[in-house]
Amino acid sequence: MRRRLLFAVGAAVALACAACDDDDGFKDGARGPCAAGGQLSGCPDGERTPEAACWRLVECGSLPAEAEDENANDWGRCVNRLESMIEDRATVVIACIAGATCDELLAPGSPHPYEDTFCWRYGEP
Amino acid sequence: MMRRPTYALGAAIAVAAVVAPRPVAAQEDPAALIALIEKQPADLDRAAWKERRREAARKLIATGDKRAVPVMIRLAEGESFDIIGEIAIEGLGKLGDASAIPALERVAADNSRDRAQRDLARKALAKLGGKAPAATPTPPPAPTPPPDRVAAPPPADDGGDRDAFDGSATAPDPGEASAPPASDTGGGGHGVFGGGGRDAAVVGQPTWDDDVLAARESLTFAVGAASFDWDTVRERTSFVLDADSHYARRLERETMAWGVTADLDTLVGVLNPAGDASSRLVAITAAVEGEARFYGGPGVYGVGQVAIAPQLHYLSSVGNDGMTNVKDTRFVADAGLALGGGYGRVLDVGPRLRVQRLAAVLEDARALGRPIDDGLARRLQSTWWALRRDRTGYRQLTATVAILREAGVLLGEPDAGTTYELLEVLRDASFDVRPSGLDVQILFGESYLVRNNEDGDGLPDVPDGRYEQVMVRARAARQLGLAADAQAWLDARYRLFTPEMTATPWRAAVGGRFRTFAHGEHGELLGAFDVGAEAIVSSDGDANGMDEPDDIDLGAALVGELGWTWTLNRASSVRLGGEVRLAAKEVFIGLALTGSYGFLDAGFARSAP
Repeated sequence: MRRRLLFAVGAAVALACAACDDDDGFKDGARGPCAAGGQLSGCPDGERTPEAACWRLVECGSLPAEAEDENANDWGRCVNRLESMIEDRATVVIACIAGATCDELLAPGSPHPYEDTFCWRYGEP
Repeated sequence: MMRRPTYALGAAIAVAAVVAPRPVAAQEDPAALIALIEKQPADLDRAAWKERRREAARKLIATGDKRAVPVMIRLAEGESFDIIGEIAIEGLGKLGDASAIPALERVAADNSRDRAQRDLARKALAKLGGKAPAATPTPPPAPTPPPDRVAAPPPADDGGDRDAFDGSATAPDPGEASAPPASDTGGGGHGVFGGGGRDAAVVGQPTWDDDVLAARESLTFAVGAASFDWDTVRERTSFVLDADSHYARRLERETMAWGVTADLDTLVGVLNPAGDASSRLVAITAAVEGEARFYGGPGVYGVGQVAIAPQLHYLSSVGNDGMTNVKDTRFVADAGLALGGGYGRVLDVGPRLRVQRLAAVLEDARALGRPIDDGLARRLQSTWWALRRDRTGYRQLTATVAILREAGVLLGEPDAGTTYELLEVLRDASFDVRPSGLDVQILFGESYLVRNNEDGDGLPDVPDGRYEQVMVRARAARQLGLAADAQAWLDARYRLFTPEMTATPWRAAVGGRFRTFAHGEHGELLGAFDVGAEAIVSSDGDANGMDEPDDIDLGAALVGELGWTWTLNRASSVRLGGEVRLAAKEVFIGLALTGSYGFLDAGFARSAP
């Protein structure tokens, strides 16, 4: 019993280190349940919030969780952009991201995109 | 106000009459014996009182007093699960009063009663000169409620008064001896719930075969947004519609199982600000999935899955100069077939837990005449299934009470408190989707993906055409009593047979979740607290030189979440959830409020875990 507990704790710590170790430059994409393989893989809709929509983009490999370049798009900037949009535009962009397949959410240059994925273009001036 | 002391005195006399030894039964006071039969004295616990009232019934019969007849009729018809019922049936034959014939005929014809009771009724009828009817199922009258559950019993000395809910709590006067038994508690349909006949006959009940382990059907609509705004100041119009619908049906048999789900998501956005600018977006996504399993041994099965999911996006955006900036139409589609094998199954046992909770409510109210067996549980669930469109719970309540009374489970018409608690059980959404069991499967999947890979658009190429993968899934769920459950899962996939210079993505996730439901004092579902965690490792399989030099293709994340869900009705809820993610060296904390509205949810489970 103690061995099992130690193993479980060890595995959790190792995974936590892997998740937070930036020296190795761990990649952010391809993590989502439907990031590859289509509908058979199981592809549930995401929640309709700015945070959840941006996580979907990260897990699909569309943008990084945190970009080294201050001007590059990443999860935080994605959330900020959605929150600063007028409400009826943000609602549609978020829903578009939540419902699209991961393949459709890739943008030019993903996972370090230099352009936005198509959902962002709704309501662009 | 003056009745209570008199009644207490009567009860005390009755106790004394029974407790005190008497040499000859004929010397017993019939009124005192009747009082003891009808009302539990305060100084006796229930078990002792039940024993004493049986003895009192024997003695009352032995007196030969005519006042015993209506009492014995009520006991004969109402006490199906206590030996006092048989004492009464036999006693009616000894008392020799022909007014008991109709009641005895009903008992003799009631197939839901024990054969011994029916035989006793036939013998009693023979003594009275009546004719035993053929044994055909008839709705029997409801049992006599235990005196401690009836409303305001009248005193022993005014036998003419009867409470509207009860016909048994009064010691009748001799003038009533030949009156028919009170029908307002019985199957005559005069009670609050209309007795056991009419309301129990719900049309459209499914018939579950004996090998059906569980079934479920649900239809849910979720409207994320629906708005139309017209701003006259800025001359701006906007329209948003984001609506999802989900249908699921599943049937689990001993040797096979099948399930189908269908989803249709619609998103429409129109934005017309002042000037020439405008934007329109339409996204329609449909998905149909099916699964069939065939069990070949103890828990071992072969499985096939199909999935079809087309998706259409249309986006049009016109700039302020009136020139079209973007016009983008995309169509993607997935079609997949997976074959494999596995072990075990996870069943939704929620409907059966609801039956257990129902029995617990009746037991607490001391109104449970006998346990709810598998056959009755099956009948209740079939009725609930047929009434799954009933949003108020009224029809489910009336039908449930009628069935429980008809089966002799519910002793008498429930009082207001019990009725309320029964209704809360029927409305309780915590018994929807309560998985239990272990299921492990491995699948080989062949998909055909239609994607938009165009040269020169700058987009990374994604897998197009055939896509093979192996998938391993495991799920374990356990119910921790009636108000909590725990689940754990493992989900892994790996792409197979990739052409050279093509990515080989894989992903593995393991997680768990615990839920506990909070109820009010009378069984009202207040909400649910949930806490869960998931660990994910993945790779885009692109570590063959195509990545940037500083990229390693391994990703990992830890996700923890907790939430509180308010329940609006059986299929609708609002959840406030918090989430913590540890990914890419950062901690991310989020909070979300989500809601959904649904109807048509229903389920069936043959047995509880």
